[in-house]
Amino acid sequence: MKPVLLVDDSPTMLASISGVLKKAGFACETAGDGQAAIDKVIGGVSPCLVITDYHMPGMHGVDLISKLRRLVSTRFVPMLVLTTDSQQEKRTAARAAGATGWLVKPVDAAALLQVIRQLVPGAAA
Amino acid sequence: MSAEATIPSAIASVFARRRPRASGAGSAAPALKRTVSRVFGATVAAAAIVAMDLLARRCLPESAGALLPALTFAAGIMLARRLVGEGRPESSAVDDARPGIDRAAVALEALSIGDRQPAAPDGARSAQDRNSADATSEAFSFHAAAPTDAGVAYASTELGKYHLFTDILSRQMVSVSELSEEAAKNILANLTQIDSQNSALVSFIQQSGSNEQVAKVVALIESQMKGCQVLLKRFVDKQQADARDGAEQRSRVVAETQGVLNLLENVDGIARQTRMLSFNVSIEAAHAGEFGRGFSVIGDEIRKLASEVQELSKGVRERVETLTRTITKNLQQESEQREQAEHDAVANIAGTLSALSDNLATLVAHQRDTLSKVESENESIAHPVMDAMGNIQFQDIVRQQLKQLISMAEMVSDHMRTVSAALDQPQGDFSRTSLSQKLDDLFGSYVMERQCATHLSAQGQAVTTEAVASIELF
Repeated sequence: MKPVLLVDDSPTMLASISGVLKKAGFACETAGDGQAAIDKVIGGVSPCLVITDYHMPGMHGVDLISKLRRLVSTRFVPMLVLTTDSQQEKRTAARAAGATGWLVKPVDAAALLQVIRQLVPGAAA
Repeated sequence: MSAEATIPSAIASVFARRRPRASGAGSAAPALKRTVSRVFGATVAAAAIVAMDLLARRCLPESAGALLPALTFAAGIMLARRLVGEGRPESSAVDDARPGIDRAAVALEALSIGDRQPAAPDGARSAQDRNSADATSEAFSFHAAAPTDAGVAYASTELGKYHLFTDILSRQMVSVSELSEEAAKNILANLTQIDSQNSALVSFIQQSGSNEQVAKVVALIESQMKGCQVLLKRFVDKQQADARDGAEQRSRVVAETQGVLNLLENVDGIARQTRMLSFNVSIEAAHAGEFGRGFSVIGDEIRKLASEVQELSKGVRERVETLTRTITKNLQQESEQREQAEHDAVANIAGTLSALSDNLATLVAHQRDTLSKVESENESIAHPVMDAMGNIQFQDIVRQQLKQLISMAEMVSDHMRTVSAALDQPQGDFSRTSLSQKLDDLFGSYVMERQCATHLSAQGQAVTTEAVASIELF
């Protein structure tokens, strides 16, 4: 079962979203910033879905998506941006970089699961 | 133009108007000096209060709202008293205050929000301005002495220290953020533990109460019950066989007794024949006369012996018949009682087994209902737990908003330093340090709709929210 890769500089967010996903039967991998996420993918983690924050130290979420799109194992993987930011120009930039969707925090657990099941059906145990 | 925006400029213009002229200021009439002094004192107080209020309202977070009036009023009064000075001759006080007045005017001009008009040159002030200044002085009824440079120095120093307050504010907000993160982690850990324990409990119940397990237990119990029924049947069969044996034994006893009675009948017959023989002996002895007298005695004795044998036979018959009746009756009663007891016991055991079977079926049904209820309740608990886990996202939002507030506090601190520097360097270029620009920068740094709405609402502007989707799939 391929995991969902969560990227956020907030430990609370990582714990919250991974808690929801694990309860719904998904496997999860977490990373505290963009570089750590890339290292995980290069290190062999092959996610079925990437959910990343936008505002992170070092590398913001859209940059991370651009870089992940260049890696073989994540080239065609759905990638969502989960952020407090709701600015339309950033959404447009994310879409251009290859993001699959944009979710504004706080996102309802049921709505998040619905989106994930729609993007990666059968990924949960 | 709002009242808040115009007051600093008006005050600044009053200060500017009081700059010393080339000559003649020292020869002004005492009455004019007193008027100037009163106008100056009241105006400085009002300006200081309004300026501090403006700064605080525009820059400080809402959490400091309760302290704003007291802080700004106190700061304004202190600033005014330092600028004006007390207990000095009015003429010299006005003269001494002029440099400070000029610097304060420049600083207050820098603080002006919205009023971008430069101060009018000396001598260009209208009579209306002077009347306005007099009116302000009268309205405050503030009798002040002349200002000094010490007042400006004090204002500069105090404003320069404002960063101490904002540093504390920033650190407190960092502390709140850390506390909320710690609390959120603990809540998540507790939720995870509750969910884990609940899942383990349900799993255990499901495992122990699965159909397969129930079927195994039921099959085992039914097998044991069948074994009990077989044993019971064997027991009943054995008891019936024992009963038959008892009846046969009773029949044999009766038959044997009848044989004894038959033998006794033969003994009676022999006795009767012996008696008849004794009579014949007596008759033949009588025929023989004297020679048969001895035979007559023998005949009598034989008759007596026959009679005794008959009596003895009769007694034995009676005893045997009594014994037969006793044995037959007792055995019959014992057999009947035993059969009845056994029947009752078997009936009880059969009833107990039947009740046990019914109870087992009830237990299985109840256990299945319990399992179904537990699964249902677990499902109803799982959703709130999952929602609660998701709602912990609030901490990240609060963290980011606190981070924004910390930036705002730093912005206030920087601006206070600039204002402090302005008091010391009145000729500096402060065109890029207006609060309006900083507020615009602040508004531009927001990423959340709520932040924008709160900002606009605090400025008294209408809040129009665009319908932005919280979930958008491209």
